Amino acid sequence: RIYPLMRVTLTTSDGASVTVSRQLTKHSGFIEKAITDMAVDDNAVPLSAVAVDVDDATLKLVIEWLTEHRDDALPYPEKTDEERRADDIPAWDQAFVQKWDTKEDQQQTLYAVITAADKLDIKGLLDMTCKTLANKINGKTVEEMREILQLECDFTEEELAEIRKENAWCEN
Amino acid sequence: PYTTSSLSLSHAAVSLIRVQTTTKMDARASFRLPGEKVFGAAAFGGAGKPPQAMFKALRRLHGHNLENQGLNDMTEAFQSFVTRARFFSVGKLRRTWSHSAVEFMKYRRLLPMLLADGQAFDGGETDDFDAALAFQATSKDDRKVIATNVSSRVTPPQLQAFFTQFGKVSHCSLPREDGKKTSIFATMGRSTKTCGVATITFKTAEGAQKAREATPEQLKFYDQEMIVQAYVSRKRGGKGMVMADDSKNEDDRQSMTSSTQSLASGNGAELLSPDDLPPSALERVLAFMPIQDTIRLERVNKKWLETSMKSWKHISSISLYRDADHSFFTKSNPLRNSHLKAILSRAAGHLRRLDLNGIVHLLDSKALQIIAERCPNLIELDLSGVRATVDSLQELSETLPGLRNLSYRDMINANDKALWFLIKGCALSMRVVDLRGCRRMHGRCLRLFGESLEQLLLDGCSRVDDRALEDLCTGASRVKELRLNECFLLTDENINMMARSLVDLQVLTLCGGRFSRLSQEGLMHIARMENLVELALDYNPLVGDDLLESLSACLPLLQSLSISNAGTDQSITTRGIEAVARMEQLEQVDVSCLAAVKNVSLVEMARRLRNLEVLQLRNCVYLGDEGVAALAACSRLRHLDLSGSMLVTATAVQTLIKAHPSQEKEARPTVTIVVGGTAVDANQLRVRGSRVAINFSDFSSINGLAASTSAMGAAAGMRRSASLHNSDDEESDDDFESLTAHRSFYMDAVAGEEDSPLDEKEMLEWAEREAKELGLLK
Repeated sequence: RIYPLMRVTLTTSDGASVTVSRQLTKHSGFIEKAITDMAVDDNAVPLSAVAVDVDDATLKLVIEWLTEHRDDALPYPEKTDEERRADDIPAWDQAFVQKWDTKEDQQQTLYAVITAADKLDIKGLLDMTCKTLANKINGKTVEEMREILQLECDFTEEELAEIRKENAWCEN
Repeated sequence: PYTTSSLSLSHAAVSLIRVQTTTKMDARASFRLPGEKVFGAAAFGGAGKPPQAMFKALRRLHGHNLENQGLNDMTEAFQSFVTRARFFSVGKLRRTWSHSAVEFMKYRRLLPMLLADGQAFDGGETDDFDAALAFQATSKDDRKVIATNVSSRVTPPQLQAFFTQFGKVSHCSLPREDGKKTSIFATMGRSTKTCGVATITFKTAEGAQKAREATPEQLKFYDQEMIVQAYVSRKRGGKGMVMADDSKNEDDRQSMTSSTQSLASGNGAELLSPDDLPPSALERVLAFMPIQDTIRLERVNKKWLETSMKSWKHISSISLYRDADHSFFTKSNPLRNSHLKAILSRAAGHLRRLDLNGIVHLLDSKALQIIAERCPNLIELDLSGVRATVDSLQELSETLPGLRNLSYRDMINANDKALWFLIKGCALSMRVVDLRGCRRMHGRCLRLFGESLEQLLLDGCSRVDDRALEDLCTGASRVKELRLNECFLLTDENINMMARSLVDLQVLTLCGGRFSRLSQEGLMHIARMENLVELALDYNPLVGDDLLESLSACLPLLQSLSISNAGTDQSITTRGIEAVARMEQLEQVDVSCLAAVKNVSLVEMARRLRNLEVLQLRNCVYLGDEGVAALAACSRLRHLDLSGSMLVTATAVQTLIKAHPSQEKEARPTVTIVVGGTAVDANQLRVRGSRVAINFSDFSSINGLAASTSAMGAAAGMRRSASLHNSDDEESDDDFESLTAHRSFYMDAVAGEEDSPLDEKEMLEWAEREAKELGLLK
C-alpha cells in the first residue's frame, strides 16, 4: 500500500520539525509502524506527526539519502549469506558518505547516521553505513583499528598476550 | 624520504610489470591505482622523449584515470589500461624498467605534480607515497581554486583555456559523474556528464587569487555563471567537495566545513564513540567484515571482544574463499587445520553452510574431524580439494545426518570406497550432490541415494558405469537434474531406463563426443522424458535431424536447448534446425558451430520462438544479415552471441539495435550482442537511444568456447569445470589473452580497412569456394 500524496511531519529530538512525503518514510520501519498504529480508521489520516529520537542535522542526512533511494524495492531484500560483502556500495552512496569524511568529524556523522538508521529501522541505510564503517576497519592492524575507532584498550597485559597468542595467525 | 617512496613505488612497478608480462589477474588488488601512477612515472624514466610531451601524455593518462574514478571498475579499467599500455608501448617500458630504477629517481620530484589532485584521491590510495610528497601536494592548495556551477557542456581543455585569462593554468580537472557505462570496452564513447565542479590549478598563487576575485560577469561561460572558491584540501579538513549552492565566500574556510562540523558538535561537547552504537548495528558492521578482521577486532578491547563473538551468530554460511578475503591464505600462508579450528570454534553451531572450495589449504583428515565435532548443523558442505582417509570421511558423514548438499569436486584420487563412506551416512536425506571430475569413481555409491535426491552432477566421471546408473534410477527416482557430460560408459538401456523411471527429470546433459556405447536410437529415448526443461547435447555426434524432430514433437516444456558442435554437417541439416524452431516455448538456444544454421532457418526461428531470451550463434559461418536481422522480432532477447559468424555485418546488427529502443517508463534489461570475429564495423553502429550493448569480444575461439559453455550454464561439455583456485586463474588468463588478441586483431582490421584485398562480393565468393572445397557445401 502506497500513499504517495500523504505527508508526515517528523519532530526531531532537538525540537525541529520536518514534513516529508510518505513515499520516503515508507522505507523506515519505525515511522511506518508509528503511522499505522496511529491510523485508527482506515482512510482518515490526513496528516500524521511522528516524534523521532534523532537530531535535526542527522535527520536531514537521512532524508537526503531517502530522497535518492525513494524508488528502492520494498520490502528491503534480506541479505543472503552470499551477499555478505562490504564492497558493493553504490556510487551515489559512496559520495554521500565521503562528504562526512573529514578530520574534525571523526566518524561522528557516520555514527549518528548509523544510530538513526537503526532507530528508524531503515535497513538499506543501515546496511550501507555499516558497510562503510566495516570498510574503514577492514584489513587494519589492531592498533590502527583502535585509532580509527578511538577506543582505549582495557585489557591487561596478560589478557592481551593470551588473545594475541591465540589469534596470531590472523595478524599479518 | 625519497628513497623509501621510490622503493615502495618500484615495488608496485614490479608488480605492474608482472601484470604486463604474465597478465596475471591476481594482481587485482595490489595493482590498481598505484600501479597506474608508477606506470606513468616509469614512462618518464626511460623513453628519452622530451619531458614536455611526455608530461602532457601523462597528464592525459592521469586525467583519464580520474575520470575512471581510479580504476574502481576492474574489467573496464583494466581493458582501457591495457589499451593505453599498448599505446605507450609496454615492451619499451618493461625493458626500460629493468635497468632504470636509478633513472626513475631523477624524475621522482615530478611525482607530486602527477598527484596534485588531492581531491580525487582518498587516503588509501596515496598511502604509498611518503609524507614529504603529500606535503608538497598540499602546499599547492594556494594555487588551486574550485569552480562550481560549470556548464555540463564544457570540456576540461575549454575550461582550462577559459581560466588562462587569470593566469597560467597548470592543470584543470573536471571529474565526471559515474554514470551508466555504455560498454566495458574503451573504444566506446562514455556517455557520462560532468558533475559541474572543477578543480583548477594555476601556475602561481596570484592566478588563483585573481580567479577568486573575478566578477560574476567575468566568470560567465556557456551561459552559466561559475562560482569560484578557494580550494580546501581534504587532508586539511575541508569537505573536499563544495556544494554548488554554498555562498561565494573567498577566504572563510570555516564556512565550508561548517555543515558537517555543526553536526558533529551539535549535541554539545560529548563525542559519539562507536561503543554508543546500538549493539545490533555493531554486529551488523562486523558481519560485513572478512573473517580474519572479525577475529582481529577481538583484541581491540573487551566490548569489541564481546561484540565480535556475538557477531558470529549472524553468520550461518562461510565460504572461506570469499569470506576470508582469499588473498589472506596464500601459498606461503595456507589455511591449516588450526585456522579452520579457530574459525569453526567461533562460528560453531550456527553454521549451516561451509565451503572450503578454492582456498589454498593444507587440510587433511583432521580437518574433517574438526568439522564433524563443531558443526553438527551443517546443511551444505563443499569439501572439494580436501583429501582425507576413508575413516574420517565416514566419521564426518555419520555426524552430519542433516546434510542436504554435498560437493566433492575434482577429487581425482577419491576411489569408490571413499565416496561410498562419504555419502553413506547421510545419503537418504541428500538433495544436491556434486561429484564432478571424480574420475576414479565407478559409481557404486549411487545406489545409496534415496528419493530426496534432486540434483546429481557427474560431469567428467568417465568411469561411472551402466550398473551404477541403473542403481540410481531404482533408488533416486525423484531426481530433477542429472548432468552426465562425459560419462562415456552410459548405454542405450540406461537412457531408456531413465526415461521410464525418472519421471520428474527436468534437466539432462549428455555433452561430449565419446559415448561409444550409445547409439542414435538410444538417444531417441530422450523424447520420452516429457518433463524436460533443459537439455544439453553439445559436442554429441549422435544428434541428428530425426532426434531433433522427435524432441520438437514430444517435449512441450523444453525451455533451454543446447546443441552446439553436435552431430555432423550431414546429420544435422536445415530440417533439424526447423524442428528446433517449432519448439515455441524455448527461451535459450545454443546452435553454435552448426553448418545448418542459415538465413532461412533463422528467419523461421525468429518468427516462431517468441520467448527467446538467449541465442548463441557462434561460428555459424553460413549465417548472413538476413537471418540476423529477422531476430528483431524476438522482443524478449537479452543475449545474442554472433562471434565468429563472419558473414554478419553492421547492417543486421543496426536493425537489431533499432528494434530495442530504451524505454524510460519500464526498465527493461540490456540486450547484449557479441560481434567479435564478424564483419561488423564499429564505426557504422549507432547505439544511442537503444538498450543494446555491443560486445566486441570473440568467444568463438577454443578458449572462449570452453569458458562460455560453462557461463551459459547449459553445457560444460568441453571439459570438466575447473573449480580449483589456480585453474580458475589460468582460465581467466587465457580468456584475457585471447580477448585482447582478438580485440587488437579486430581494431587493426578496422583501421586498415582500405588495405583489404577483397571487397564484400569477392569475400562471399571466396568463402563459398572454400566451403565447397572443404565439402561443407554442395
